[in-house]
Amino acid sequence: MFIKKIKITNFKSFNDLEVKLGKFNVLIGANASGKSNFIQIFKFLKDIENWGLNDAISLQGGIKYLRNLKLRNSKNLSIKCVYGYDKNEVDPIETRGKRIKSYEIIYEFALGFKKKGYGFEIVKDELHHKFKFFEEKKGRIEKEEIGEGEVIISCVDGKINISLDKPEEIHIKEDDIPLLQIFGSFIKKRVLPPKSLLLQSPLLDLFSDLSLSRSPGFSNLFKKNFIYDFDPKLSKEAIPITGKNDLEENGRNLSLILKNILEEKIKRKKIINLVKDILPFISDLDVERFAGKSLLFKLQETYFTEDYLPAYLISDGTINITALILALYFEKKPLAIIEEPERNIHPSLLAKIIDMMKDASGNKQIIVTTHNPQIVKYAGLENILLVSRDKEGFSTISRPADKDEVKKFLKNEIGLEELYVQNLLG
Amino acid sequence: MRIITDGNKLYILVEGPDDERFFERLIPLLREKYSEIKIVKYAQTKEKNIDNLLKSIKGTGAKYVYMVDLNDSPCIRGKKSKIKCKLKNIDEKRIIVVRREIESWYIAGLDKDGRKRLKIKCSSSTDNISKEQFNNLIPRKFADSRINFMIEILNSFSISAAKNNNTSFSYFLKKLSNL
Repeated sequence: MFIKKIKITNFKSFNDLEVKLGKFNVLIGANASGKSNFIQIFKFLKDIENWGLNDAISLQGGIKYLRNLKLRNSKNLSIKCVYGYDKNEVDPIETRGKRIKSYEIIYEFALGFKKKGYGFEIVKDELHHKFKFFEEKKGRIEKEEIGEGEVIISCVDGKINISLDKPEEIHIKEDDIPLLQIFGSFIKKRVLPPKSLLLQSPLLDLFSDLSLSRSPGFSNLFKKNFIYDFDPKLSKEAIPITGKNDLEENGRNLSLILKNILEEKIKRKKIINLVKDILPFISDLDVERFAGKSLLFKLQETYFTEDYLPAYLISDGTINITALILALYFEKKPLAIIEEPERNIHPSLLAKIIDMMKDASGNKQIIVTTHNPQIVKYAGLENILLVSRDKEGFSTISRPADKDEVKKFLKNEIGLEELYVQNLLG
Repeated sequence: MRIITDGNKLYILVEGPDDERFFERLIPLLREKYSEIKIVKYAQTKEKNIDNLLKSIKGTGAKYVYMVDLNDSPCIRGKKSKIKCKLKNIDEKRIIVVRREIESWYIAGLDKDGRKRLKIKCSSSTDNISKEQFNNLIPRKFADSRINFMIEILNSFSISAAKNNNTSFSYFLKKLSNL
């Protein structure tokens, strides 16, 4: 599953934004244009799931800094995420001679504000699970699409409601869908605590797959979103042998994650292959154990094969590249956001890094923020999203690929990176 | 006046990272003849800049080859003429056309054992393997990374197999020894 579209209103520097996303996205823009505010959408959603709505608002600096400072309480703050599926990701279900196949999940909520102060209320909280109906037709091998429908789960004043919306002529009831048959009446009796969103409830997980054949977990899509901002200095320190199996967003537990990977033969080969592809002078990676309590990453160079270099002597760029490869290929996250991946890395290596990002985006959605012209050059025009401020100071996001002017510049051999440096992509 | 030349240095101009990865693996082989080998990627670079680079390389007396995929072009001669029209400083003899795409050179380097090990089923001649065909050959084991698959091929790469399995690779090696 990946995010196809995001729509937000009155969120940080954004007034009204709708942006389509691909599997690989490179976010560029001037300083203070709103790149970080866009990334904060994902952090906010993750925080809601992890800590609840009230704490998530607090982690954003309160309502004052969560909503737009200019719009204040004049309009609702809303976030709408539209998820699509990768090819062959969804198993259809067969019921009453019809085939039902999911194609989209939309989650949307809105907060309304009191006229005075920073009070708020939930004014919308809905999940739409959209699907298509197919039926066998005489003389045709393939089943033919006969219409669309959706299961809507909404929460009003804490009460959960589930409804099935479909064309009248398609004779399917709620009970014909396994998920609704089993959980429908149970869920309808549930009441959410005040100021809680469906997103916080594990119930939402159930609705990621109508057939119940698999459950990738809809809400996990937010919970497992990682915003990587690697700090190589932290990765150079020894860390305790006990810890989580997820690469931390700053890369601090790199040694522990590497230890786990290097213990598995196939994964070991893969990480060494990929690191050597970018840094051919590296011949091996390993992790040193200290008194059985802590770990420190080390590597061997082709120049001296007798010894290993401990992490604190390894270059920042090498650490960054290793952390990037772990995040791209070894972390099971549906979405990886990587802030300024070019840090400490020589420009000549960036083409390969971008190539790896495109390669990894076959299995996960990737969003990269950057100020680097080389990244822009190799990313490909179709993957670039430009963040800028309009006359009123609101942030907007556009695709330079949609602009005729940009196409003309490129046709006349003005490079993409040059247009970016000269601020001509907007 | 003394003209400084660098005839023992070789520049290999390649399109993108897949080509760069391939030629990096050939560097040890080429070191027998050249003291220094530089790989330069030209994708996303302005033609004017590539042309100026070629002019400068020629000025230093260094050798160069310009690698290009045949892709869907009907003939090698046509492909070379097209490049010559864009790059005034290029010597047509230094253009080497990969038949059909660099992916076919990767597969060409796998001998019988290599193919068996990586579970690749295709005919021994790779002259007509396209990018799409290569992608269809990727075993499930490597479904999460095409790049890792390419590196694994290079780990088993055999020059003699590649010479036998791809006519343009064989031509490339001959050409390099007579630059």
